[in-house]
Amino acid sequence: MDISQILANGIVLGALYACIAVGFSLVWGVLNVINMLHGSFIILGGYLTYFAWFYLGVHPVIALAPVALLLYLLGFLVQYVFINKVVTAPVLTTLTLTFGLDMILYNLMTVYFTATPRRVTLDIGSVDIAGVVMPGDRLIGMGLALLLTALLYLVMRGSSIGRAIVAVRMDRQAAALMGIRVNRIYAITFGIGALMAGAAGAVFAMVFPVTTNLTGSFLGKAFVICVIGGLGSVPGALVGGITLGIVESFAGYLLGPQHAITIGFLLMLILLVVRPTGLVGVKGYE
Amino acid sequence: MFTRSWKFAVAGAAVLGAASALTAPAAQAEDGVLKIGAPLALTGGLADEGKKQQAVWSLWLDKINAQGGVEVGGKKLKVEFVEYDYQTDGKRAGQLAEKLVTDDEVDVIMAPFGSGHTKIIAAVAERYQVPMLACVASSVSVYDQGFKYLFGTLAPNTGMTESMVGYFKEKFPAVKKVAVYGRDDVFPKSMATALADSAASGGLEVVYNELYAVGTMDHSAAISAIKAANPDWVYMTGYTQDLILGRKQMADLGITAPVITMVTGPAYREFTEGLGDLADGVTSSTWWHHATAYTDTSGAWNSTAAFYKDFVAAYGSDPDYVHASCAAAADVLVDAVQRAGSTDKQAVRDALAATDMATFYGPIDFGDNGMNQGREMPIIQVQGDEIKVLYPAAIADADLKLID
Amino acid sequence: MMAGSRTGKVGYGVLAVWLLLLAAAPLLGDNYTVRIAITIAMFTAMALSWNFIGGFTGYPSFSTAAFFGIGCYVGAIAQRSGVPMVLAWVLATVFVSLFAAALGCIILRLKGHYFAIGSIAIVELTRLVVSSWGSLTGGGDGLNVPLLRGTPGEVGSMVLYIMLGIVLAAFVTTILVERARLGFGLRCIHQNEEAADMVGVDTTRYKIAAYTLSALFCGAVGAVYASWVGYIDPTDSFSILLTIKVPVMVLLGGPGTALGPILGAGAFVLLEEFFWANFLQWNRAILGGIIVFLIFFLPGGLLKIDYRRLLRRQSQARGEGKAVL
Repeated sequence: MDISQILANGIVLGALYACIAVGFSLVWGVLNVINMLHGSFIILGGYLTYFAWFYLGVHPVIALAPVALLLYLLGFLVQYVFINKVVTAPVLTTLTLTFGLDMILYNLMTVYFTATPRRVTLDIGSVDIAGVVMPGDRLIGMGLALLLTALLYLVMRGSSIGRAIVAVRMDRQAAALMGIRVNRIYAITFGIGALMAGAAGAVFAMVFPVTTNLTGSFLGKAFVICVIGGLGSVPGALVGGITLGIVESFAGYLLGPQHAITIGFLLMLILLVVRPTGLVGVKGYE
Repeated sequence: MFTRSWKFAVAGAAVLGAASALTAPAAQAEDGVLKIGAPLALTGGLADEGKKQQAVWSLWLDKINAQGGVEVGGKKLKVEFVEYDYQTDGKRAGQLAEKLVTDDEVDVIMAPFGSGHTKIIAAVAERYQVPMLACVASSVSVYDQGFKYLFGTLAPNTGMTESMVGYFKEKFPAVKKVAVYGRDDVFPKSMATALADSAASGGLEVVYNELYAVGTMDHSAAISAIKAANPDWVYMTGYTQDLILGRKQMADLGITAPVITMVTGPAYREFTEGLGDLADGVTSSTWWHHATAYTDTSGAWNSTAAFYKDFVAAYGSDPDYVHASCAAAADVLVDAVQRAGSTDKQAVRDALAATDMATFYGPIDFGDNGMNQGREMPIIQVQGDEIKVLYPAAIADADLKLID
Repeated sequence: MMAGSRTGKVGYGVLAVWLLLLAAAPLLGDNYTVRIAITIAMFTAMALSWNFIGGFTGYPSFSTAAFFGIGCYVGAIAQRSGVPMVLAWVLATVFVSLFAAALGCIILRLKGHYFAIGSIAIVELTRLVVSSWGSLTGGGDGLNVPLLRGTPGEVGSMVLYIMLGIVLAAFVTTILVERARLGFGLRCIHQNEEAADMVGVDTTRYKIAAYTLSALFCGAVGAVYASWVGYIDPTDSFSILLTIKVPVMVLLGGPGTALGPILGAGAFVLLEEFFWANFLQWNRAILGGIIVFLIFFLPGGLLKIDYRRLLRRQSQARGEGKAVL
């Protein structure tokens, strides 16, 4: 069996995975909040993209920007109203709070959207490069995912907001002393996290059927990727995502598809114990 | 210190009050009403299927009550469904089953979609000796606990796979190698296992035989391996979202098998809608399809066509086997009650065991383990915009089309 | 927070009444009521269990479902292999404790979020392992457990008393731990682990002890549950929802106290009963709403609200109102 095909599968999948995780990683790294809503945000983005395609005939690539923006607003709101109040609270509190909020969002989606799997049918076909077959829509998805992560990286590095976010992540008190409005930065960061989730959802709608049953799986993957790659950094999410994609691909081939997911979790646990900061990451909060 | 314990006392009292409110006297058993209990998954992962059951029973009930009820032992009984949502949670399923039996005093219980939850509720029904009908559980393992009160209208999986292997060998003699890929979940797994066995005993070479974990979002590893094995026939099992994804990835990665079977994708509208053109040529076996033409049947409808007509008129879409099997289960129940002459649970149970009835859904005859005896299960295929029935010959309306 | 955490006499009194009421369920109500009582007892035992690691020690563990699930499976497999029921339960409890102790050595080195994630990952991992190990566990097919003999009423009562027995055991253990050096040590760890370490508290050993205690009763509950229900499968045994609900129950009642988990579990299960019986479609959202409400308005749980001060403040406001007029 062709190693390069398996590798290619893994990389394409990995880029998609990275897109899932980058927003999650940012929120966790900067706000020290684990956003259990992340999976639902992604699915919400997916549903909005699907509806735009189904009812308005808008192609997902075009729908991506407005969907992402909508999610940004939602994220900003959620953070401002709810999460801001508990940002410095212990882990159990923030985790349980975001979990509770997630239940509400999940319920709203299942009631109004129903769990029937929806698929944006694009039928782009495949590309054959030197014997390795890559599906067209996944390639586009991978391209978009990489583009978005690159954009985010540039924004973090280049813009003043980005630098403020990094400053808050490095040292909250110092940043406040420097005149940065920390609460506002928190809200913006959470909003960006939601934006990336929405964008990921739009990308995913092109490749997978969208259903509320998947929120847990997406969240689980985000966890694993963040631990593998490292928190709070875009390159970390990318490394983590691609690593997971390749690991799952090879594990699926060598051990049987049954165990692919298990291997991912096992890897995460091992890394948690051995190197919790991840392959790339800067030390996150304890 | 005193304050805290005092609060505990107050809270405890409030909770006691709530508890006593819940132990209010149970509903009185009513004469003149046949009460059917139905725990359904109306929310949660299996909500779509739960709603289908609810929809078809509502249709059935309207038809029955329009006739003034059912005639049992010389009296007219009204029929009533008592439904609860168990939220696709196993513990709740058991809890609600117990509530239906003790609080609502139902005469019989209908099982929900899903083998696992059916088993949990079956344990409750068996303990209380309440007859139970499962209209959407077909794995033999559901019926392997030796329960006397459990009956199922779906035929066992193994019958389906044997007739399928036989049919494909006949219509596609060049078939030699089959790849089996199943979801690791009660029903899909049993279908995959059954097919691998039937194929092997039918002389085919099983070149790939693996299971994928629940929640798999990417099948490329498996599909790449399948492609390398170059099968003539790919057989995949799972739920709708798995099959949609699987078929798509098969096309993406360039699988060129002439026969692709997805169980039970084509039986569901969501499958063909979700895949569009890619669904063309996909085969499946199923317990029933509305194109099957049973006539002179007993129960609420006297032919498949009549049922189909009513269903489409009420809901504007085609019924699938879930709808049919569940409506038929209700018919079977009424038939048993009529033969028993009363709603006495033991009598109804014995009457069910002796059932031999022709319904719009097909013949119903329960075997020793409570399952409907296997018969020739239809094989269907998506051809263009329609679902065609390929087998058995008596009701077939098209021939096998190979995928190129 | 630590000083006033002892259980007063009134507290014991109310607890006794509550337990007696639960035990009397077979007499007061029908089998459905007994089922609810069993559920309350189950969750009370698990909440008390969680309290050791989450309440006293302050480590946010989400492993409850893993311990429960393993308890279910070990109990079920033992029974199917011919082991007598009660022995199977004991076996399951011991196995889960050993498992937790071993696991604790590894993941208790993590803190905060990392620990939380590690503990959830354990649930997923155990579920996946159980799911894949078909030859032992039946995999996705689940496992049949030989049904308990007896009428539904007899079976229900028996299971109820056993569960209440586990609750008592957990409660007594809680009181003992509270008063022993272990309890003191765990509280020190909660406040400041490094300082505790420096002061001479054997943090590693204590944490492992707490984690093991948090597993032990869950394993027992799981084994008894499997025997009661007659059939288990991986998805329902290793339920993420369960693993989240238990900490929430303790948060509701008051973490770090002996009575808090009992109050929280009882209130939660009854609330849930009341809600999902009536609001079919929105039960998840309502549960989420309760959690949000809990976090914002009841940060210390029901036991920590100072009702007297609340009432005083209200009458004060009224008084001021009059003065202004």
